[in-house]
Amino acid sequence: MSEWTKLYDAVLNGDADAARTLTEEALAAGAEPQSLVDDHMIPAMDEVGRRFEANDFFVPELLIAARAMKASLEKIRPLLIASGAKPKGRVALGTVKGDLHDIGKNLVAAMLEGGGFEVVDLGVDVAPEKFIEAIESNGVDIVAMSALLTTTMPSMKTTIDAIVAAGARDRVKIMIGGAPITREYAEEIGADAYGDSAASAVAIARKLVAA
Amino acid sequence: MKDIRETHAALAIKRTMGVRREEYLDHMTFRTNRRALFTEVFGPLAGLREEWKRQGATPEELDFSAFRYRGPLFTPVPVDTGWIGGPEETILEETEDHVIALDKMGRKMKLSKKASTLPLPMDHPVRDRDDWLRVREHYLYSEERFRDGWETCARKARDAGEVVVARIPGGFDELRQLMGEEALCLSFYTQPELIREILETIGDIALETLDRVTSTVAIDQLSVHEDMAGKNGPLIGPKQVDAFIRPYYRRVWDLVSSRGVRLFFQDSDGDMTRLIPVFLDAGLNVMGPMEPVGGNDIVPLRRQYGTRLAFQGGIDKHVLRRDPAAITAELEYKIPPMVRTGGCILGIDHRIPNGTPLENYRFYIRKAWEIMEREEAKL
Repeated sequence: MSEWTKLYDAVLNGDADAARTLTEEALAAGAEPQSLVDDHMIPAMDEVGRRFEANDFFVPELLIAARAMKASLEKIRPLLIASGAKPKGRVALGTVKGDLHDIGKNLVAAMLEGGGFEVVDLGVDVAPEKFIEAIESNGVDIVAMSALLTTTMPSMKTTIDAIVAAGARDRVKIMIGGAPITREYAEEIGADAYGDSAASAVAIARKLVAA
Repeated sequence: MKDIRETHAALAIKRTMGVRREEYLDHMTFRTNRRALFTEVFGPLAGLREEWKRQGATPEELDFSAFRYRGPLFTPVPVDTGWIGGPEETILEETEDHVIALDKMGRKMKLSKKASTLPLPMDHPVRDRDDWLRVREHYLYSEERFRDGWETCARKARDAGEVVVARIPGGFDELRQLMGEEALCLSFYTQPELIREILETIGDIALETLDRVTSTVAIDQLSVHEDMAGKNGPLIGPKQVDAFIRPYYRRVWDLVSSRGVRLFFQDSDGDMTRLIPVFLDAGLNVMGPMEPVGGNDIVPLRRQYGTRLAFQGGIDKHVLRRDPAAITAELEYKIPPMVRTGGCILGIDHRIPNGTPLENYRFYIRKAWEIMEREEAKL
């Protein structure tokens, strides 16, 4: 832990200006970029996730905290890239074919980024081929799929089947989530994990990359 | 947006009057409790009718007239309290998979033909106050808000025993239409004055319009559509509702309730439990469709809120895809306390999902009536 604990508060409270300024000050004072992320920003976003799960925080608080984290990361990311630091993992994320809903996916993206993951956001209405292309060209560790409708849930199975057929299943872990999705459904279609909420997605992704 | 509207119209079900407005209003305000009310809130999801046809459904089952319900008919007064005017709605692109159309707010709307039941916006007209000032004219008072024959329509419906409904834009939903969900959620922190200004304008126009409506014809129910929650809870918290939405609801409800409107109904999917207290403070007294997710379970909620809150819906749609034992368990759990206490129009909590066997739906209706009639005998 360094003395830059105010950065934790700035992210938790969603104060983007403070987060940016504190990051600049910390870097100017010689703080380790990776330690700012690991010791202050990720713990702050973990706390946001905990409060979100407990219904003490809602989407506005989650988004405003993610925005503060982004403001800080803009200053830190070039330094991390230059030092060759690796993200916690790389996740290709999308709402499945036929489904146009994006808020659940975007919240998961915000939380994963806040958790130190690099997110390749494929958008909505994503065809199985797009997921495969992301695995092939981005070297992702995890494929994360979202669906809001019972009618689009089958696209998750179609996508997993396509990943298997493309011979890419062994290279990635697959996690799914969304309003109609259950743990049983995830097991039934051969996903590795089911996320009940945007906040839980981070813990799941950590487990998957550690496995 | 011809194709988009057609999709919704194709899902409509045939409804008949099961109770008159007086009984519904007395029941939902806990004044009397003669017998249970039971309805199909929305009807089937796209594709279910085709499944049932393959399973041998009769034409009457496909339009739902074969099934017995006991609910009122609702007639919305043809008066607009929200956005009016804007460009002509036009189809911009149509493929096998989707339709993209320009709507009256100037948004590009995309409808997935095979999966979705609602078109979703690809962009939004308001990002900041300058944008809002450009579109504000769509929320001004004008004669255009009152469609021809609106008074006659309201009077005829009332005479026929139908529930006469006035609608207002959602305090969350209308702003979501203007700004998008994420931009709106961020704006509660980044542009709170803009949110207040928009809601004040929408409140002004709702008040002015409903002032004229309620001083001309009798209205039974004020309805608002929000759809602001998911299975893990509402998108925004009690803090935002209290600070921004409650004042808007309150001023409209204070006016219309003083003119004899008895019910204030909010339609929102998802788990709304955390927001119930603040919405009760705002004047709401009926919520639906009470999707049983999270803590949104009408049985404990009835114990908690008693006669302060009536329900519409409440029965888990997902049990219909399971087996008779699961359906029976859900109905035996939900129906008796609702029949006993009144203030509820029972029904499944949203559209009937695909994969619901016709035989299960037939069983659901038979079993629901068996339990309701058994419980009614005890009243």
